[in-house]
Amino acid sequence: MSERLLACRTSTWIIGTAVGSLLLAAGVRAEEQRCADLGASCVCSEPLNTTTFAGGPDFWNPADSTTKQCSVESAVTGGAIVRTSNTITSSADATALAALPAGHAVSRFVRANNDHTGTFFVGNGVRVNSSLVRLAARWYIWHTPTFDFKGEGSCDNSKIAQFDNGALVDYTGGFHTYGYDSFSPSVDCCVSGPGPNAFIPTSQMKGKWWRFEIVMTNRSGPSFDFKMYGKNITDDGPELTILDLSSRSSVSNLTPPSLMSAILSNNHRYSPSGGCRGWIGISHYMMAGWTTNAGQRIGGAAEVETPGSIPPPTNLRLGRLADELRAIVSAGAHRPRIGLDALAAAPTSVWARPRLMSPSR
Amino acid sequence: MPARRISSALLLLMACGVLNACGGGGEPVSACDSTGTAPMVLVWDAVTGAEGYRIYVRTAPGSYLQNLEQGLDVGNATTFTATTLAAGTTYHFAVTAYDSIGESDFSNEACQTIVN
Repeated sequence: MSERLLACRTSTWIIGTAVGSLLLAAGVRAEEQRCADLGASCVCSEPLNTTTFAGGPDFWNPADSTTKQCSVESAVTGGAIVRTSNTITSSADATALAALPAGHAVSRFVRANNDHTGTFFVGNGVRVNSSLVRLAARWYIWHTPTFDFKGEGSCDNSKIAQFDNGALVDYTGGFHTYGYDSFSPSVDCCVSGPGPNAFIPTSQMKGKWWRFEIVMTNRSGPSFDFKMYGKNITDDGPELTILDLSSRSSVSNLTPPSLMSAILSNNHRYSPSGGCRGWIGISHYMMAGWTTNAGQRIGGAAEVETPGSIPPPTNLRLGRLADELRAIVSAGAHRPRIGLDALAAAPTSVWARPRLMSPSR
Repeated sequence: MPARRISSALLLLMACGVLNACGGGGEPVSACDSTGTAPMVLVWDAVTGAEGYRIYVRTAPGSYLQNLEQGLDVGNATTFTATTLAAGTTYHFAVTAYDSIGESDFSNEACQTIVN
């Protein structure tokens, strides 16, 4: 973590947590559905759909998580929010809630004060065992229509995400990651990106909810990598790969000084004069990890954008061409071929694909 | 039933080596010890209520090459055949189901290293 908070404040937080626990006796919500579905692979979940945040003045424990809580720092279990010497609020802002997909189950989310600046972390910064070779965190973020990113108004800083060892993501005319000075090789990447969709205009984020998901692999190096995905859920836009560390040779073979575990929503802003307009809201943060690196993702929260869920297909297997023959016989008619052009239509498809024959049943 | 389609399939069947299954359920596997020749025939169990399925593929450890909701839509088929695969490349496939509300998690993976 780039900011360490004073241990003496922990005692205050513990007292606050005790009081808060009494308030939690009724109406406590558990982790989000996706976390429950993932079982042991779910590291922690903070729906943030609550009116109560225990603790303060720095660490805050949302009331709607009592199991699998996220913690920004290990010393403060359940302290999933850090808003140093500033306030946080449970919000039911009508404009923000109206911008969520129809059918959502969000009634509250956490937000900062109007025109906020300063530290505002949400998520999990506690070390996750290195046996989880693929680690992901996902959250939803709302930027008000008047929100100032860096370079807008008097705002001089607008961060997006925070990792261990000083690495982070911010927005400076586009998404970019930097802070790899302590890595080997040492590099302060990157002026832009790296990533195929790093230049998302701020106009596409203001007055919108976005789902961000960051997936880390090779967490101890070499070739530490993360990919950041984003989807405008207000307009049901396509999911974009925003950043991809492996896409630039200067940062594709980094070894961190220690295991990379923290993936925080970092909403720090700074202004030398005049402040930064607008505010952000956060909903449904969760972290998951897997012992294999096989494409797993957290994806959307059923409570936010996919009410109801359909189970995945099972028993995927390699068949024999006899299966294909039977399919042809049972279909009894020509099916259209699906070739390279069909896959190439996918916006983020980049690989040299095999030619794909017709699906059949 | 067009006879030429049966003939075509039989020729493919004769030309193809034995295909082995891997990743037979549970958490996806990242290693692949199955080898075979193209094409690859993928088969999966139908999901009740599914309106269709999407195919995702990767050729190295890590993320699939298509982002969520952007896999190849194969409609309501429950088999899929990939041809002209590159020799020496390991293909990992996963499938999702979707309905009018959303998309499922990934299935288990099926993989094979192409040797022809």
